[in-house]
Amino acid sequence: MVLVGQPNSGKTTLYNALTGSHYRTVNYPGSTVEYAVGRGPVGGRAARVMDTPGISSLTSQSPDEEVTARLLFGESRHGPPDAVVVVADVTQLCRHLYPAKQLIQSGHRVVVALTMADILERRKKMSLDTAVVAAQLGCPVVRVDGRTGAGVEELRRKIGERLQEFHLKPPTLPAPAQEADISSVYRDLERIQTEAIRVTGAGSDLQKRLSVCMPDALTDRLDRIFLHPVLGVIFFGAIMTVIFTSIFWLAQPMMDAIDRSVSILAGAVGAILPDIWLTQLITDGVIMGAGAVAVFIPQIVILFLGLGMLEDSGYLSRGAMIVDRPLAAVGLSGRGFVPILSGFACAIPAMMSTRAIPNARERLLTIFILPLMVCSARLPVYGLLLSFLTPPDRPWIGGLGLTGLYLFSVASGLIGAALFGRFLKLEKSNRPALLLELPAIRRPKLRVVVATTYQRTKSFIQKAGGTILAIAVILWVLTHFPPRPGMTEGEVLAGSVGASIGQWIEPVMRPLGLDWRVGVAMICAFAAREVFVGALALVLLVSSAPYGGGALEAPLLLAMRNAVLPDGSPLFTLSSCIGLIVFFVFALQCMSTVVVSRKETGGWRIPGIQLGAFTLVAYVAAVFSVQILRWLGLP
Amino acid sequence: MSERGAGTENGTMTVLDLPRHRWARVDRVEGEDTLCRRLLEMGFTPGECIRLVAAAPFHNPVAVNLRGTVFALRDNEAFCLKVCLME
Repeated sequence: MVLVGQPNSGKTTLYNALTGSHYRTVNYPGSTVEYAVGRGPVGGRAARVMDTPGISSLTSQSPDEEVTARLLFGESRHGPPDAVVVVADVTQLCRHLYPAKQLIQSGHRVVVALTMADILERRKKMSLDTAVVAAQLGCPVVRVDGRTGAGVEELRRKIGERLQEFHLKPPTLPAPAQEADISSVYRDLERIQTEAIRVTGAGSDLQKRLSVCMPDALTDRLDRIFLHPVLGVIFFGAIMTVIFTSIFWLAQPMMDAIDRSVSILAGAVGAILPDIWLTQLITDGVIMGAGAVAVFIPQIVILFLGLGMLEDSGYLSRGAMIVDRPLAAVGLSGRGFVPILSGFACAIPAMMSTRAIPNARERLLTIFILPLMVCSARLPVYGLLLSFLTPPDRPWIGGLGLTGLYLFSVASGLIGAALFGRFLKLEKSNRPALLLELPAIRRPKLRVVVATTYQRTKSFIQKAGGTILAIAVILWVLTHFPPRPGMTEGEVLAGSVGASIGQWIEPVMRPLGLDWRVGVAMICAFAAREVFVGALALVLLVSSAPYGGGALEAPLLLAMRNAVLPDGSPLFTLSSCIGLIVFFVFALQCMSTVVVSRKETGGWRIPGIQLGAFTLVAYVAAVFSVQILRWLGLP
Repeated sequence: MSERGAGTENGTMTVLDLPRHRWARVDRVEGEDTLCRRLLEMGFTPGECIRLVAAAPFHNPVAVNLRGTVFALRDNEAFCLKVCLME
């Protein structure tokens, strides 16, 4: 059986209730872009339940809607569905029953699940008669609340009964509807709505109709601020500023705590285990390497919490409407706002969420610029370099720098879209549509936001964890072999396999004012950016033993201050750090992003251009900024 | 659904010309085929009551209240919706 319905009608919430899964739900139309298959008991048997991207009719317009249409009419490997559950939001009964009507006409066995009845009753003071809807539509209708689980058992039973009925013929996809058909379907649905919904205190028919038509009072009042031509923009700017500055300021105490405990842990493990090379691999390689990235988890959690609150409140669509005009100027659309915002968490889900953008050109451009957004994997790198550059007496510089980097990434993305748009040979003539639904505003549910943040953080740690461990071990071996007993660590490193590989990249690194050690870390960062921090910790020989818990400064920062070039000048200076930051701003150092970009764009052309152009721009821009800063006389 | 709103100036008004928070009826949907079908299927059918909720500078995009929800429309989409004010 398949769950279908208008975008943002609550399909995924119901799917989670039916199958016991924990898919992420978002108060934004188009958050599900791929179908999901789960199992749940229906009518006494185990059934395959499928969640689908939202559709507003059977005529598909964007890639995510095509997924649903193919699934419904048996063009997927699952064959045609035995039953279709149409999920409909009762506060928009007519619009949400429209696909139900189309599906019944095309020969599907339909059961209607009505959601959001609580909003209708509590906020709009209306009541609903499900029996009327069922009688008029000629199919079973159940009132459900996926969040509390109310009505879900009845829905299972009704679907079970429906499956007993004889299936007449396989359903067929109808031809695109004509204006007259659409109007007559809507007239039927309006009649159902008039009979089924009772409004308390409405006099005439017209009054009743208008009060059904209005969004709830809270949403209506808030929209006067959120969508105001001036206040709306100010509010938007304020929200974004609060989220992105708190990443740096709120996280600082937690980060210091983690930093200290990692050093203590490494020291303790080193003291317990015998002093052999394996112990060093564990303390210096694994614990310090992973710990260097673990320090940045608080920042990532705060970012995810902020995004989660925005998602659950329904504000995202309002933000999308506000930025539509500026984005349209460079060939993007307001529908690209949510992918771009989630690109601040990770480019991979962001690229997948572009499927809800109907216009192919806007979609490709959005995918193209997504790798430029400051993703959570860049946070550790910027965090490290910024805290290195921030003088202890002026801690606000770090927060300001990070906010600046976020703004800069958006600016470079817009410029990138404008430039790339000139070369993109794709139909530009007819103006693409926006047609974005602005859902009811809700108070963010803490449980939902925390669960989302937990899931995202977990997947960040899992993804980063494996890569970091593998690279830490490889790097440790490369920098410690061949072992030379009796020599200092520095001498072992200078004669190691890693160093001889490093000589190869030395010429490339020199214009940046850096040496091969940073070069090795940068190469490792091509697997995933956050690895840079762990790898740097390793090659700079962060030894856990001498620091312990009492160090004034984090061991990695201290090692960076002490690191010198062969001629004795410091390795990390203002110019070389800024050069590194500039490099990370542009470079596409994430293999998973390249792979997803290939999948989403259907070829190697776009990911190839992205990889080549972004990395080239990154290197050239980094060299330029280092040389200019030096020319200006800065260290 | 046959009654037309008063003050129909031969139905040439579009959503873009509406004053804020005043109800209007959709008179007809005119324009490019796929866009019109999309608007109709979303519920912008002739006779339906709609209301301009908010407008960005230059009326692009605009927020239009329809059948219990609000839609953000670009000016070219809003231009397809020919309306007449009610009352």
